[in-house]
Amino acid sequence: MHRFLIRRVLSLIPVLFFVSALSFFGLELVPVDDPIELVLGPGAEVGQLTDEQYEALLKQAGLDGPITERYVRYLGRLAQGDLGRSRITRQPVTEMFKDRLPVTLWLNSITFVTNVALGVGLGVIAGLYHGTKIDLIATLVAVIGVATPGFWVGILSIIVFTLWLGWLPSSGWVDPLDDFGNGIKHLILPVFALGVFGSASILRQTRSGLIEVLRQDYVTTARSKGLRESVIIRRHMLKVALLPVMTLLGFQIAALLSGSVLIERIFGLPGIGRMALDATQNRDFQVVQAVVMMSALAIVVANLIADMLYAWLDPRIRYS
Amino acid sequence: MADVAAVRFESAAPTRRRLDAARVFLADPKALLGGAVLAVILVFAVFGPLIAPYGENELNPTESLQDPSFSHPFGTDRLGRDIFSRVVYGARTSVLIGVTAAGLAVLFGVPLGILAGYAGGIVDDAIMRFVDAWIAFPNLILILAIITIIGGGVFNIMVAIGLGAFPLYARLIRGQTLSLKEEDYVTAARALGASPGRIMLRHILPNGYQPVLVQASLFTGVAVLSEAGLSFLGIGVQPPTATWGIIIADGFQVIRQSPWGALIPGIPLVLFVMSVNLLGDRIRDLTDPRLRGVVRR
Repeated sequence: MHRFLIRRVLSLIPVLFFVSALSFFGLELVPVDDPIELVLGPGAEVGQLTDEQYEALLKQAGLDGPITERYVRYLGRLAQGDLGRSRITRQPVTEMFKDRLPVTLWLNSITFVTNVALGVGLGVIAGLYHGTKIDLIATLVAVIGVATPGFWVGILSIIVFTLWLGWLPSSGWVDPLDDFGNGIKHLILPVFALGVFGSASILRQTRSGLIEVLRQDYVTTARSKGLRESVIIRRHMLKVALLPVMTLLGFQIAALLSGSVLIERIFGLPGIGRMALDATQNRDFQVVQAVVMMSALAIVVANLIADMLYAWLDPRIRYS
Repeated sequence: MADVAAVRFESAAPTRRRLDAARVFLADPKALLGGAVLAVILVFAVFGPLIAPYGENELNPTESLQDPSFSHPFGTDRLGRDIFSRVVYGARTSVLIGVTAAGLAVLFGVPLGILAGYAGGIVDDAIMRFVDAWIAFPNLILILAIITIIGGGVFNIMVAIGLGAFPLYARLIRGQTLSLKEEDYVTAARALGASPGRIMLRHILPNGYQPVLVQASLFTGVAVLSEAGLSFLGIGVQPPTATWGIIIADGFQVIRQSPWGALIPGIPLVLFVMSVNLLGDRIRDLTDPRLRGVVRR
């Protein structure tokens, strides 16, 4: 297992290099007449700056010197946790992340846990009772769930739970660490909207994985040995049926991060997704670059964890 | 005589295959339902202006924010525009953007994938590492980044959605190319002195494109969702053009006064994606060799 782990972590190095290169050179592709526009915005009045100011601004943004040198410096800054400065707020991007990360982390982690719990739970029930009415209902819910955009689920939930029933707030952010009850109350609708797609896709995957396993000889053998059904499900079926679900986990994190952009907009949550959207609308290049880089990093780490879980569940992987 | 029979058999085969394909689809009620819903939406997309009772942007301020009624089946928006007509017009733009974005994804991905698979070695490694890194980015954030670089607008949105998805096709066609390039007819073409470009274009592409087409048709649903999301965020297609995402965004602004504008355009959106998924599931079941013999045909 240790060798597998080391090999897997080492294989991340080229991917991280490519990711950093893509986000760095992406910024280079922005069509501008003068690189100072990346700091001051498109169509900036460069003539009003003195030469010293011009040089200082370029230097501060890391835009001076040849491209290879700038890339090396960019990597150096990344290694020190320096993500540049927003050209709109003039704030260091790292600080902006610090303010907004808790919002996105709360939203995404609660959604992730509920997705896995609901998706696997309902998927197991649908799989065990496949062909029955329970299965039919679960499958129908899943088919609708994977086709329904999260932002529309968010709108539906606002109409029903805020406007009609008046049970839950439709916008705003209260940190659950400050006021747990109120904080969670503000997160219920966003989590629901963000989670529908993920739960439905995990449900589908678990169900089909389980149905495949139900037919296997070793399950029949386990039954003929007289093992209790709960033991068979836990030890022989779930472990195998959940393997394909593991590969979905990295994808789930990516989908959650993407979904956060829309959900944070609808529910007025000041998270990373909202920051990415504002930065895109304002063409705040450094912030967009930082969000791209950090979210790619999150996905790469999520995939690493998924692979480790996969290897733990399936010994064939780590010895191959 | 035997030769004549063989010729007749060959000429009859394609027709029979087509009939088989139709029968296979009809055998699955879910695929049939998906096909029927999709057909209705496509009719709306194509004949929209003939079906819609009002114009796409026909303003009527005296009738703003009305509930559904006989004259306005889906109600009206804050400018008094008929939501049903806008949803019908929106079908055309939304579906068109979805299809074009899927086409662009194929256009970007297929040449890279064929090149990687055919060239092998360091070219393959470089292209596939690039593709792996690209996949590591969350799709919507990647699309936002592309829009930040190239700017908004209808065409750029399609390009951004296409660029967000191209690695899928690069991987798919690369796998096809790896097996096809070992085929005898490719070796023969090479022996006859055909250039690599000609082999890729004339021999590998025509024999390996089918799974790409299946995947691309499935991606249309995702692309329509992406467009709706981007337009909802205000960085996709710009008002007053009607797309399902824009109508939802318009409705969301006045959701406290009237929920219909935000609620109703989501229904065709979900139905479109669901029907594409249902059809796609059936196609995948039928074409997946692992499921051969298991799936009812």
